[in-house]
Amino acid sequence: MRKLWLVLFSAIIMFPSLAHAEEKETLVRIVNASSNNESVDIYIDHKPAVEGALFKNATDYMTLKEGAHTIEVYRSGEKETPLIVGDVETEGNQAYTVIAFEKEKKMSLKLLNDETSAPKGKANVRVLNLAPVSNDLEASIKNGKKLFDNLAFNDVSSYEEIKAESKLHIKDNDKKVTSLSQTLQSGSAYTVLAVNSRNQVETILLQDNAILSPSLVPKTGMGGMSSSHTLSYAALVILGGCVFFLRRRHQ
Amino acid sequence: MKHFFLGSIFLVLLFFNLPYTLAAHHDQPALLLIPTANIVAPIEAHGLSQNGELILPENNNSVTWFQNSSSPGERGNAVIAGHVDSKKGRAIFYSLPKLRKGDTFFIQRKSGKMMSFTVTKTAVYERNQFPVNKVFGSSSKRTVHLVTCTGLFNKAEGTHADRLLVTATLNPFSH
Repeated sequence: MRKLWLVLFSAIIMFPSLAHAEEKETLVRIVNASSNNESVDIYIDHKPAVEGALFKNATDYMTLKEGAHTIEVYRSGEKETPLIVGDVETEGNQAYTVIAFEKEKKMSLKLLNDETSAPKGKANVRVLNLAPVSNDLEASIKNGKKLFDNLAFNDVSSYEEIKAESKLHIKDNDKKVTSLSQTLQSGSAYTVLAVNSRNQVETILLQDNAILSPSLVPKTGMGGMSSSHTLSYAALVILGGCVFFLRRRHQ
Repeated sequence: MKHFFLGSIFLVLLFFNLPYTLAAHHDQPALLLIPTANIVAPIEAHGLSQNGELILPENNNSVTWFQNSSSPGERGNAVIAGHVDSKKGRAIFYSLPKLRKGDTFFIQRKSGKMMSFTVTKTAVYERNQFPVNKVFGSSSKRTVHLVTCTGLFNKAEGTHADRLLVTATLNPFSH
């Protein structure tokens, strides 16, 4: 009888922790920023995630369980010796970018935690310097403020909130300016990778708008005071006025 | 020996359950006071519904503290959401847009302890661009996020087009 009580008591205590053992998801994308002109195969947790990725190729966000994941990069078609193996730790409801790039002639991995949006009328942008030819990048927006300077190789800036529809300019060591052809859209977040393949800085523009658990966005209104209803009430008042006016005119 | 074995199982189960046991004993937030916006709101603790949506209070004068987020004043992101309107008229967070960067508001815990927070940012996001990772993710700061609806009401989707997000951090010496 005593044993039965113990087992029952344990089960009761265990139950809430089972209810709380909810597995969260995380979003991960991979970019090949290695400029050695080799295509690569990238594996996540020993399963192929992308095959034959060329320089500047980026995957879409992939959904994974939160926690630790192993990233392996191989030369395309080879599965013997990885160019690099790295472990990344991810948290639930977060978005990440894993970047494979060359550092001192060896493949390296970098993990970035991504913003996924910006307020209305604004855009969030950050720059990662993976261009070995330039150890001092500067970024600014056209006719606007300087966002940052002295961005060394392998450094990433923080996200800067800028006016939507702005154009980003990046200036390298030699004061050569690379301008992004695309304007940055309202509500979006971007990562700009500065890379180089022929002694010249080039850019990879990534839009960081990952869709993370949209159901978590609370529905905090019933519409009783919203503009659409206000318009309906206004329309009713105008209609009532017209009916009253017409009736008086007929009398 | 059998008792020792059963006792060990019990201790192991208790150990794995520890985070839950600790969480259940937090000094929960009880009252939200925002002088700038004339808001005094009882705080209810809620989780997610079966379809994964944040449960909101049934009455329009209270707000929800998402109990799976940090408790206000603790390290991490605490999320408090309230209705902007009901079907008939204004609800508790109708005047939330009056809050500006630098404003102060207060949260009282059930124990009576009062904490003050300073608004660091107010921003409007389109619903499908709401920064879920920033609001619901982890943080090393002691942050409170106040969330409500704003913008046009979409009848087909039964919700507003945008969300107002007010972000605030705990004032030093207030805890």
